[in-house]
Amino acid sequence: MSAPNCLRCLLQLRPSVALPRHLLVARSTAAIAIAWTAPFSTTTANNAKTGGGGSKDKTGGHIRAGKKIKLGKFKKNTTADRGKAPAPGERKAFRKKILLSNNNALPVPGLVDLTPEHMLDPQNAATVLSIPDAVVDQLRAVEAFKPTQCWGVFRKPSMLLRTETIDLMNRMKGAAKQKQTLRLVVTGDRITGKSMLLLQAMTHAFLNDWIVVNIPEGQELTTASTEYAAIPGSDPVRYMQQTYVLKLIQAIRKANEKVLSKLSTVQSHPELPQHIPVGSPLMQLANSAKEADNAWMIFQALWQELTARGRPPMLFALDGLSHIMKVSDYRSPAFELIHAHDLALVRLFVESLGGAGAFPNGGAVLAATSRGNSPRAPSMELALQQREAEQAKAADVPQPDPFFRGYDERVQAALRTVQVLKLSGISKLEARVLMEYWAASGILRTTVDESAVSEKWTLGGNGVVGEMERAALLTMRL
Amino acid sequence: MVINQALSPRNNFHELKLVKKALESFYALGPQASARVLAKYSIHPRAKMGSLPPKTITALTAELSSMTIENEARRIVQDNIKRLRDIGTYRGRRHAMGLPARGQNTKNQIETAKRLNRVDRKG
Amino acid sequence: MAALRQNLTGALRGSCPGARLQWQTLDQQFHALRLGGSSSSSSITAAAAKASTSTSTSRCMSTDAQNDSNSNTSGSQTEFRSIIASPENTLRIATHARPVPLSPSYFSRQPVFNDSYLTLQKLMRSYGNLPVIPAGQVERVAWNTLEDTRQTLGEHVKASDYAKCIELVKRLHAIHPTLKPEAVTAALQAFKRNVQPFSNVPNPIVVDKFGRALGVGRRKASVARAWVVEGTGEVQVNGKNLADAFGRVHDRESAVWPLRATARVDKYNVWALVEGGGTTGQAEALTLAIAKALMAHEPALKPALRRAGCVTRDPRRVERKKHGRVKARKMPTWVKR
Repeated sequence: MSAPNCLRCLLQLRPSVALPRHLLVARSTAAIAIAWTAPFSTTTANNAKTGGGGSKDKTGGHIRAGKKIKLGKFKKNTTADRGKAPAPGERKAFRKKILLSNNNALPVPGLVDLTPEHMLDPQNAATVLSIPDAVVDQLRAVEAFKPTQCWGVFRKPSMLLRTETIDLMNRMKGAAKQKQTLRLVVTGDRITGKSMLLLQAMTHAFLNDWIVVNIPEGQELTTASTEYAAIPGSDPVRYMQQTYVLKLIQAIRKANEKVLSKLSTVQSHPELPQHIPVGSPLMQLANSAKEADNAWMIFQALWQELTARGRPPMLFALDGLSHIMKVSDYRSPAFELIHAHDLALVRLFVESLGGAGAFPNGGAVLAATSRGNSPRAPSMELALQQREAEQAKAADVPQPDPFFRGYDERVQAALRTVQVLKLSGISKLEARVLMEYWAASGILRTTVDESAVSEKWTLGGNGVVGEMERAALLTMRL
Repeated sequence: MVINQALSPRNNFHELKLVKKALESFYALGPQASARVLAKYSIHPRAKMGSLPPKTITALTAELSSMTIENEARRIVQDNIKRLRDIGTYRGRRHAMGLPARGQNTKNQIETAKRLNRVDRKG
Repeated sequence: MAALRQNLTGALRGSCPGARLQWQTLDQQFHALRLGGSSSSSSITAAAAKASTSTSTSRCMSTDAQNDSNSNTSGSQTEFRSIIASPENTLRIATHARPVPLSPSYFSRQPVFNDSYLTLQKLMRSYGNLPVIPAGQVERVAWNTLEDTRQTLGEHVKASDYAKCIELVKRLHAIHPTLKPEAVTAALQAFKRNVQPFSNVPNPIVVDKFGRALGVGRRKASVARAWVVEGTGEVQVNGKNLADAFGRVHDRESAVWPLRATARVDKYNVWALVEGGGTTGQAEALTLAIAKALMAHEPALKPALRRAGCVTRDPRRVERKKHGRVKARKMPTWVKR
């Protein structure tokens, strides 16, 4: 049974039905005005069209039609307008877009910009500080921000200084002071803040006028998605990745402009196509990389200049270590898979990390492992566990599985002397500071007290930052 | 040369077409063979036609012209079928009849054989 | 007097090895009953002898076994023979002997039940004045139901009778345990159900010397064991932290829900092992396990935990599939032909 009039019609006020005829004329305009403001009606436009009719016939404009037989209802509606297809690369650009500020978020009162000293003082552990705008630009240039980090919900990019951060910064500072190279791998569970620690190290480097070279994703180098070519005259054969290196040079130039503009070349580079005399500014060398063809040569020259004596300390960072600790997806002309360490740029990083190519001016080589979308690298995992056990002076160092054949000697050798920093959850105090920052930004809508903090701390797997964020902010990141 | 023109990006292939797919569009070049060709010229598998330098395109064209592809490869197949037909084998007969040659049932689902098993095989 | 009563009961039963009773006709026995406690055993026999001689129609019967076991069988037999043998005796001898029923209830509709009811009444008369313990403290016992009794006795026991009987039972049961006579305990034993659900009590969870309390929880196909100690709010499930163990935030929340609901998240550490089932089942099994262990630490939290829904085991399981159906309930698509 279905009523001929739908409920929506009944909802509308219709005094004209009940009123005597003589009153109708006087009230009709008012009745129309009331009737057309029915709540949540999507058909106001339709009703408005038949508005005159509403006063003419007393049943009103809308009578629900009975069931209609719909023929061919399984036929696809081919005429549906799907809109314009996104241009090539548009979807990817949207996916990779990084928003660093959000004007809808509340500005946090008392938020201080970072200074070089901030990151060294142990008293600043468990504080949230914002990144200065100049450094934000530099960090963006080296692609230190990741699309998976939710910067876009806060007014200003800011970060929590953890005890591990302060510790690492002090170690970096100490190494630079003694003209040594800190070689360190950051490991830890999923979303414990490994990439974030790299970002903090880079921030520290930029604040202290270091030179920063960052490879944002090790994956980009080894998944056979960028151009490669054998380096002529190399034996054993090494492979350069021209396009990527060109991009890297441009990132270095853009991010380190402040430092590079003060420096000039100290060596002549006769092999370069463009003549760069000794004493010309380094920016000129960096700018000479216009095409992919000679990018690797220029990069080598730039690297020589940067690692010459008397330069500022350097930070060489890479995220996603396991991708470069395996056989890459590239193939040699003989159709054999190329080991990642035979790729020249990767080799440069691995040697720096392994201690072969030390920086004479001091600095740091930092690598972070990744837990999302990373291949298994058994040798790397074992080596890192061994280093960790050795650092902790544990009684039993993990030994390789004698029945497993997938170990890689080159990886073992590369990671023989690195230090390992294992990240885990943050402390309750840090959690509290972080949650207060969220609350001050207007994202977290609960009062931050002891119980709320400990609850989120527990829900976040004993203080895993990303998990806490998921539990507290209900962000949908994976 | 036909092939030369075919591979030149301005003529046939769109700039955004993957080189690998472009190679695979030639008869007798499958995933394996095209991967080997790419490796030989150090082209990464996700390279697009537009990103190839002219030098590489020339080299690829030369490589393709030295391979037995397209009509040459087709002719080899046709010759094989013809040989079977000529010596009067069962397989040759089945090819001539456009029926499956390897003992499949023929009640239904023999569309592939109908399409392909011919003495002058095209595809 | 006591001897008389013994004899009487012996007479009621029809057998009494201790009593020096001659075999008696049923009429004599009933005579004796009618006489009550006024006459002694000798008077009974005398009366019996007199009756046997006087009443010609009295039936003469007894159980043979009783006669054999009697110590002075020979005497009675001789007497019997003499009665039979004497030619001047004109009594008609009963040709059919039949056993004396054990109980006068024999001819009632529910003899066994009536007997036990009588026994209870007697016990009540004897011990009814003993002190009882308050109703709340009486040990809970599951008594036989009316149906049980009807089944076991094979008698149609009236519901009202049974109710009265059980009332007696309960009253006797309430006698103070230290003063309760053996006879009462023995008599009540017959009324107890074979399986006592109230004796099936779970072992109380204790906090061991390391301060751990082990709670076990189940849900769906999952079993969780949670060791709860006082601490700072760390949770480990199968050696992993909560975030690794449960990908869904909702599951994590339900796992630590007892602690959250009682605002004890930062007061206890949990180390748990979970197996079986899926994520939801494991998380909710943990809820129950943690709640039980928490109650061992703080029994006063039980009402709060019950309000939070952490105390009761959710008994729902996957419903089995039935033949003729696609799933448990789903019917195959109806086709016309």
